[in-house]
Amino acid sequence: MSRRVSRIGVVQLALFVSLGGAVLLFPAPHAEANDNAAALLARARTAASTHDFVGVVRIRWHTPKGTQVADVPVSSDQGLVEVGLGSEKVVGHGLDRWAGADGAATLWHDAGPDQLPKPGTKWDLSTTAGPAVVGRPTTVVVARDHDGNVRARLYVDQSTGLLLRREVLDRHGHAVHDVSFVALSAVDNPAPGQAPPTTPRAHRERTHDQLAHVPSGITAPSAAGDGFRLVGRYRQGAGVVQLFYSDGLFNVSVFEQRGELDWEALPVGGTDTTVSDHRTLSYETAAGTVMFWNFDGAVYTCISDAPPDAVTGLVTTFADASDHSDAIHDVIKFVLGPFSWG
Amino acid sequence: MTGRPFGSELPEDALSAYLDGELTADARAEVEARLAGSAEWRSILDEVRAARAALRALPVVDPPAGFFERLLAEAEPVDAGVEPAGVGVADIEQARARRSPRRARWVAALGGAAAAAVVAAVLVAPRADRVRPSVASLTDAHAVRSSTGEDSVSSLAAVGKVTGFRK
Repeated sequence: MSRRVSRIGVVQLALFVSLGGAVLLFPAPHAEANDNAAALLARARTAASTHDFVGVVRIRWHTPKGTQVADVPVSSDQGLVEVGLGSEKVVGHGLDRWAGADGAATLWHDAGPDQLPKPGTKWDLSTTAGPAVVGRPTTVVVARDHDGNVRARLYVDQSTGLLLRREVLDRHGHAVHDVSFVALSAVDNPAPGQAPPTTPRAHRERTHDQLAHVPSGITAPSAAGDGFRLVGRYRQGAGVVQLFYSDGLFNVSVFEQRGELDWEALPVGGTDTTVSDHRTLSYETAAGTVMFWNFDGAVYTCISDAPPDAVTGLVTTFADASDHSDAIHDVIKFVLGPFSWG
Repeated sequence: MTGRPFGSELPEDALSAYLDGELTADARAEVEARLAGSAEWRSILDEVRAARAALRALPVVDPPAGFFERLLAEAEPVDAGVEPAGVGVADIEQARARRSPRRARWVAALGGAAAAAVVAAVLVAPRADRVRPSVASLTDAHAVRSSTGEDSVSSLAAVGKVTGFRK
């Protein structure tokens, strides 16, 4: 009897090992698709600074008043990426960013967010041949949620890896935010010896904004909503802390400050909803969803390029985190120690 | 705040005093040295300056219509009956006797008006802890942070495009 059991055990073990080997040697098509898509997205992150071009990007977003459109000139020259014009111009080079009017820009620099989550962890990614965008063949990275709904399509230039279009959809499949090149010309490589473009002169530097820890009294859950992870904390002006979350595909910033929100100062036309017994007011903008809420003496401004319903999940997380904290203790510590940040 | 060293002092206090010209020469030199060597101090100086400008930009509050009339009417009982009716010839002694309560009436009225104006200002003007998030700068901050972790063009395209929110 025991010998028989032992034989069965050996057979089971052998089967288990061979199955495991098969999984390792022949990964599932699903995992492979995820990896391909993630590799395309990783390439797209840096493509704009490795290919010279000039073009125009069109942002389209939907509000209760209808579809809004903004066209933005863009260019890249030897790693210097310029987006927008005049006071709306932003220049990027490596991890440096200059934002503001020409010649009077603010220099932003930090080490970038901590390690970003892998997009395939939350999203079901796949790739497919896509339509031409500005005449260039694309591969589309499709991101589906847990329910199989398509929530984003990213159109990647097959030859350069440049992200040519980024489409965000609501859970019903309607596009809510769309950023797409509408004109693009590749620029030949610079002649040997040609001087690289100069970066703007900054009149102000924001090079020490990154925080190792948030000040006492600030609610900063390490994970929020559906799969968003805290990957950066920054000081943003007097008494305001920026908490930067990512799920690998979308980013959310939660700006937190002490006080009571002046609801009446917010413009009309927002969507007024209640989340976890707290009032929220949200707007669709060129930057994505902007949502406000207020509880326990803290004002929250959330800005996200994620689908709007993804943002509401964050409110619940923050409400729960705040409810569990000792508010009075935190307020006292916040008042006494705001200058020990960093 | 005069000439103390700033080692344990809040930068905002020191910089506020600096802007007000309240520092001694030594303290001022120390602040300027810190400003020259610290981006953080320069950043805080900008914030203090902006906060002071915002305070100065607060609207002057006008009292509601008829406010002063109602106030004076309420002040009337203070000297009711003091003003004698039908005085034909000025009597210097009586005039002197009347001057004092008349002055008291005006002082009372003006004092009341001042107090009421302060109360009205407190009620009507925005409370200090009322927060109006600076949405334009926050969206720019979000775009800038996002652009270091993903495609920079699609992240940065929205900079400067979020309008309609009052500062």
